[in-house]
Amino acid sequence: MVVYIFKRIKGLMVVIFLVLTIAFMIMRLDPGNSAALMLGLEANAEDSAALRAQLGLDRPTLVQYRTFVFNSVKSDLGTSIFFNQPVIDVLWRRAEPIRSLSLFSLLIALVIATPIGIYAACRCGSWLDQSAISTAMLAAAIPSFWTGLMFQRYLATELGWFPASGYGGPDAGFWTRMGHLALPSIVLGIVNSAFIIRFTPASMLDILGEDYIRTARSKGMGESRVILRHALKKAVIPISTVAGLTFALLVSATVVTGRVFNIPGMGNLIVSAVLHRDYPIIQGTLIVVATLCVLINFATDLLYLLVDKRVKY
Amino acid sequence: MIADSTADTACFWELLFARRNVLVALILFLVIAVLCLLAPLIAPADPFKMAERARLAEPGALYWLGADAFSRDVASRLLYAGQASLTIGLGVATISSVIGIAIGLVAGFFRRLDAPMSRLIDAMMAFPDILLAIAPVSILSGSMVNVMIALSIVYAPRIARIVRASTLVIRKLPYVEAARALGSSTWAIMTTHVLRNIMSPIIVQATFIFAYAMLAEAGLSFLSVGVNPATPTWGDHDQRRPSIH
Repeated sequence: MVVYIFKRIKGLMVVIFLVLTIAFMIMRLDPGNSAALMLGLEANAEDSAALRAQLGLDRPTLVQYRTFVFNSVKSDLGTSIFFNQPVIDVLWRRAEPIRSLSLFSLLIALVIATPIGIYAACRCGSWLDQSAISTAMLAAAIPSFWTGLMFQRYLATELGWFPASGYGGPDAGFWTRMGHLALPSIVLGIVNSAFIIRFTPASMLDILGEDYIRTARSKGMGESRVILRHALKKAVIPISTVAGLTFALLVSATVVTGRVFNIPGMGNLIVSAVLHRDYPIIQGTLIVVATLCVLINFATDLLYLLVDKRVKY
Repeated sequence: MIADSTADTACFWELLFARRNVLVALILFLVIAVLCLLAPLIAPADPFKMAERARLAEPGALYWLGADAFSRDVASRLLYAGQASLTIGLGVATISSVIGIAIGLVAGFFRRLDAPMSRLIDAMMAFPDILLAIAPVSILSGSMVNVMIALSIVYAPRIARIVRASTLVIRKLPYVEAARALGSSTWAIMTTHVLRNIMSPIIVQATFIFAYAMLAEAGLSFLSVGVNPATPTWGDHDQRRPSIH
């Protein structure tokens, strides 16, 4: 098992290195002079040359690449041009809304999806199963910003149940800040639950066909006990794998939904970075998020080892 | 042969009619697609024209679905937007399938290239789709072609992963060995024997990508980093009239 984990960590390193390389290459797609673009029309040649020197763009590409990789490993992702602060600090300041939002929405998604998925599996083929799956497909087909705008309009503005947008001002307390995340978390939870619902019934059906479930039933155990006691325990693995895999999707939805609710998270950061042509921020966000995704998928794989003792490598 | 193919076609239609969900979805999709394609004929107004005094007009006889903040007819924009969104969906599905098939076949066939290419696919898949598309679109400008290219880069690894997995299975099958023994070139085996037998998972994945690409494009336009804002797409929005779509 230790050998397996070491092998996986080696693969992990390679993937993270490739993530860095892809991010580097994307940011150098620019056919022209990005420094001149960043400064706008009013800039003169000296200014753009100075910025190029500051960003290190005047050096050969390979040298830039080497410096970039070494700096990234030392968690130095460059300096934001707009904020004039290290990229990592800018991202760290936004860590709380991003982290809480993804955690809450994942929890809500699991709370919605697990019972529906189990119910759909137990009553496979019934109209309830069919309608649960259709609703899930519909929820996945609607863009998250549309759901967000609807909820914002009816639940927040007209009924006043939730704060409509923002993050509660600069000196808001912890609970006020979390309250502002309630509605976006629900929206993201609904979107994300659709993906989990699509996969849960299939894995649940596999488990319900196992011998030990038949044994439990033949012992005279009630159906609800069979499902909650025996089947659900096993279903944790596939469900958590899907939940881990949806993380990348969740981040995409967070970017858009965070923008709807004007949360000072990744959505606002990346849009302002695009508008200000703040390339280091875009590059840094790409690297941090992709690395997180890789690590989360690694963690769900390790979960397999912990939960299911039969999995051997 | 001819008899076979007619039997196949009959079977296809029977299957289609037997599964009512599929039929309903197909009809809905065709209606929407035809309406969007016929937009120049049926749209009540010019989607770019800003009429006087029509700003945020309520839905009515003149403006079927009202007018937006720039006094443009929403119904017409909706129809023209369909053209753009469907084109992007179809384009991304096609381009990413072609790239994905090429990468996946090579990775599945040439064992030496498998490990590096699989790692590359893993790394590409670690980027959330919208973020990965924002980066190139923000550097190159937001034209429709650039959005299509960016989204194709995003989705090609998904196809590649499936093609690689299916290729690994197929290349071990006896008929591939037989073809090799008969002297078929690797290229011929790859294109005629393997590719033809892995088409169904590719088609399934490509239809998903069609839908995801349209959603991602809508997200990009919503963040105003997508296609040029004057071009109508289904991601256009207006904060004061969230119900337009």
